[in-house]
Amino acid sequence: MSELSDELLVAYVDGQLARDQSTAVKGVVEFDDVSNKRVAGLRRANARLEEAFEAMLREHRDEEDEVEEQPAEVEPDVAPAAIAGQSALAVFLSNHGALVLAGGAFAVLLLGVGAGYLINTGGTVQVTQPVAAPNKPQAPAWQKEIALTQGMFGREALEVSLESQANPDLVRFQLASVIGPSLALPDLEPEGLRFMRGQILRSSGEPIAQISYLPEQGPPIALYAKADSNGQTDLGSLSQGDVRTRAWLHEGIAYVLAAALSEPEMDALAEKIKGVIASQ
Amino acid sequence: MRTQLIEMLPRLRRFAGVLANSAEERERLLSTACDAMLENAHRYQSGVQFDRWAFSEIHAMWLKGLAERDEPIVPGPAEERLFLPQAGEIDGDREFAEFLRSLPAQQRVVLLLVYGEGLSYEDAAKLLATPLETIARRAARGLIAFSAHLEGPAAGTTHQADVQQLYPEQKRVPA
Repeated sequence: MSELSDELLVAYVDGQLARDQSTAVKGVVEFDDVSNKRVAGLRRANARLEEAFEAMLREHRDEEDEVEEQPAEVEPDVAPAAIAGQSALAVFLSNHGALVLAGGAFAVLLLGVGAGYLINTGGTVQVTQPVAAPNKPQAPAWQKEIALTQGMFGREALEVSLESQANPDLVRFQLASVIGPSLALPDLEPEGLRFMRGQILRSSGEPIAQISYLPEQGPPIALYAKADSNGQTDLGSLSQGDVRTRAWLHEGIAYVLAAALSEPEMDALAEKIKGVIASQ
Repeated sequence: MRTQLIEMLPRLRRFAGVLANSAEERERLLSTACDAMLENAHRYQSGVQFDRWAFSEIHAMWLKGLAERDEPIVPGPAEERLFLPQAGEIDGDREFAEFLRSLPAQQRVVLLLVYGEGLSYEDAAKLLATPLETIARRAARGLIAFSAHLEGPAAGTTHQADVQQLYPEQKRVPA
């Protein structure tokens, strides 16, 4: 049996002793075989514990990497009741499932223009999805990103911009060269919406056109468009905070109207825009 | 804060994992704690290391959960899969998992903080709001037990007995 207590030896091995204490223990250990062997065993255990905990961490990192590589189609349904009524920055779910919006919305977060939310589910990290409108199809991930982004898109972003573009035809041409030739840039002046600018954003690595309008008052309204690759005709809708979306497909382009309007106002505006686009 | 939490999530999950007895409990704890952290972000004081604050919040949430239990705590080891890599198990992983699951959560978390996160006893004591002596004792018992566990099956049996003797609270069922 060592003259030094196990607790002291462990503290010594762990490097938790003050210098003079450590020197004293070291002096004893060097000349005491029992203590020496004990310290060697503790050092092995110490190193093994560190390795094992590091392996646990790698496991969790790998899980998240795998989740981030999953396609958006695997996203599970959310539990709307679990997030309804909670503050926008405090939405966490504990239901099982895979990643929702992790890649795209996380990128949006990093860009500072999005408002994603963490979710922790069954070994994966998620960024929360907004509440889906009842009795409607689950909205695709990119549409939710749009709603999240729109929530951070203030009036000032357009008012102070030097990039407001005066020529809608030129803007349409530029956007269409990226999104697709059938892209429409509707004139909404009759609806009291002044075209301000068009720009290309990215969601999950794919380009999305953002066409911005300003009403006489209130926050901007935006129409987003992206090339539709899967032909899903019913794109659903959702709400995220004050922002609501309406989405539809037209000539291979998926459009999403995003605005802080009431449900009836959204329905009415979406129908008018659909009509304008169809007539162009 | 949200971004910081996302970046820290693997470490937070590992931390919650050593407190929990099952993967479901881990996820529930982590989710609830992150939720609380975002809701109470104003409580975070700049200058405090964020990871330690987050760990302490999870620990506090875990303690709160224990206090609010309606049913007695059922003694029993934690799920092995909490500590065992699912893919690519390597030599020694299983013995580590077996060892860790046999310990009470209070000791697992000390081992994680000291050997996994590299905290000093003093910092671990502050984080867990536990006396320094207790932390030092738990770290010592844990390392000694693991060292014995690594020595072989016989030592492992001894370790099991040691754990139960040293940590009777694990078997205690509150009234």
